[in-house]
Amino acid sequence: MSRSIITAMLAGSLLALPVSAQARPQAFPSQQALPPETLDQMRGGFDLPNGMILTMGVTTLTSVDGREALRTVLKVNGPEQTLATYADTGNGLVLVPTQQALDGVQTALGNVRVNNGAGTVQLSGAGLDVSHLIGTALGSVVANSADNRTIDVQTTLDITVGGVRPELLGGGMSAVNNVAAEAAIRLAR
Amino acid sequence: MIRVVVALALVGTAAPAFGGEESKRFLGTSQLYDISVPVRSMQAMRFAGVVRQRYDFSCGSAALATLLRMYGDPHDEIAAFRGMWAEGDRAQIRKLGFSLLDMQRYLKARGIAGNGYKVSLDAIRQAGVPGIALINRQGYRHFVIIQGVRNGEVLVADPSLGLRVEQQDRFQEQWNGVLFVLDSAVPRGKAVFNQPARWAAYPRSPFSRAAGALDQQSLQLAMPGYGEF
Repeated sequence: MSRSIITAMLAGSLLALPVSAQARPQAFPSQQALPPETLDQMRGGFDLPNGMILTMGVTTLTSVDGREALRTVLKVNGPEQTLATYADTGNGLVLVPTQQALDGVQTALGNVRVNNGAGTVQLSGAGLDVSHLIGTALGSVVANSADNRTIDVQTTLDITVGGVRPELLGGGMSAVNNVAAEAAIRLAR
Repeated sequence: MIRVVVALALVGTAAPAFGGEESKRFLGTSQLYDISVPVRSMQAMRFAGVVRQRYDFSCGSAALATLLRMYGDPHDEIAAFRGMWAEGDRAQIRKLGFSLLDMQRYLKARGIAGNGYKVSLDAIRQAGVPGIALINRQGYRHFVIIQGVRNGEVLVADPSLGLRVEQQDRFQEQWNGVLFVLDSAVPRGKAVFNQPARWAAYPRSPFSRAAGALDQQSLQLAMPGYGEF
C-alpha cells in the first residue's frame, strides 16, 4: 500500500467530514466568521527559516570632480522595496520625483532618468554616461570620454539583522558579517 | 553492581521521554558497563511537533501542516505548499506569501471546513481550539499556530522559531485578532488544545532558579553575624 493511500485514509478517518453539514458544533459563532475577501488580504511570509529578519539598504553614489552627481538609495524591507534617486541640479542634491521619471531631470552633467522596467538609473551627458543598476543586479557602470575628470563611485551596503537568538550568535553572526562583507566587495568591483 | 542498576534506570526513564528518530546518543564507557542515554538538542526540542518552514515565504504551508498534524493528519509542508500553490494566486504568493483564503480553498478541496474568525485571546481560551494566527513582527507578517492559552501566556508553534511561549499582552500587540480554525473537527481540536505535554515541551531556561540562588547568596553575605546585632 503506497504512502499516499495510507495518508489519504488517515486524513479521511480523522478530518474529512462533509463541509455542508450544519449540525456540527462550530468553534466560534458564525457571525464572527470573516468573508473570503478579508481572508485573501491576510498573507504571511518573509521570515527566514531560521527566524532571522533582514532589512537591507544599498546606496550607490557617483561623484564627478569632487561633487556628487548621482545618488541612488534602494531599501528592501521584506516584500517592500523603496527607491529614491538624487541628482545635482545646481542647488545641491535634490530628489528626482517619480512622476518625472520618464522625462528625466536636467542637471549640469546631463539628464537623469529612472527606468524601473530595466532596473537602472541613468545620467546621460556630454562624454559621460553613469548607470546605477537596481534590478536583479546591483552596481554601477560609468562610461567617460572626457579628459581630466575625477570620477569616484561608492557603494554602501547596510544590513540590519533582527530576531537573532542565542544559539545563532557566535559562528552565525560572523557568517552574516562575512556575507555582508563579501556582498559589499562584489558590489564595489 | 549498583552502578549497573543506576545505568539501567537512567536508560529506562530517559528513553520514553526523549525517544524518537532525531535522538542522539551520549555514550559513556567503563570497564564494567556501557551507558547510552538518548538526548535531544534544544533546537530539536523547540521543533517537536512543529513543521519547520523550508522557504522564506512558506510559513503559511508549514503552519497549515502543523495544524493538520495536531488533528492527526500526517501532513508535510511540501504537500500543503503544492496544494495551495496549484490553486492560489502565484504572483501574490511569490510577492506576499500564502493567504488564509489559500488555506481555506485547499482544505475545502480535501473536504475540510476551515474559517477565519475575529476573536480575542480570552475567547480562544474559552473555546479551547487551536488555530492559525497572523502576527506582525517588526514589519514582517508571519503565520503561527496558537496551541494553548493559560495564565496570561500563549503557547505558540512558530514555523521559523519552533515552540515558544509569549506573554499574552506582548502577543496581543503583534496579532491582528484573527484565528483560522478547522470547523470540521471541533471536538478533536478541544482535545489537543492546551495539552500539558505541549506546554512542558517548551524548554524554559532556568534563569529564575539562578537568580533565586544569587539573591539568597547576597542575603547571606549581607546578613549580620552572630553577636553583630
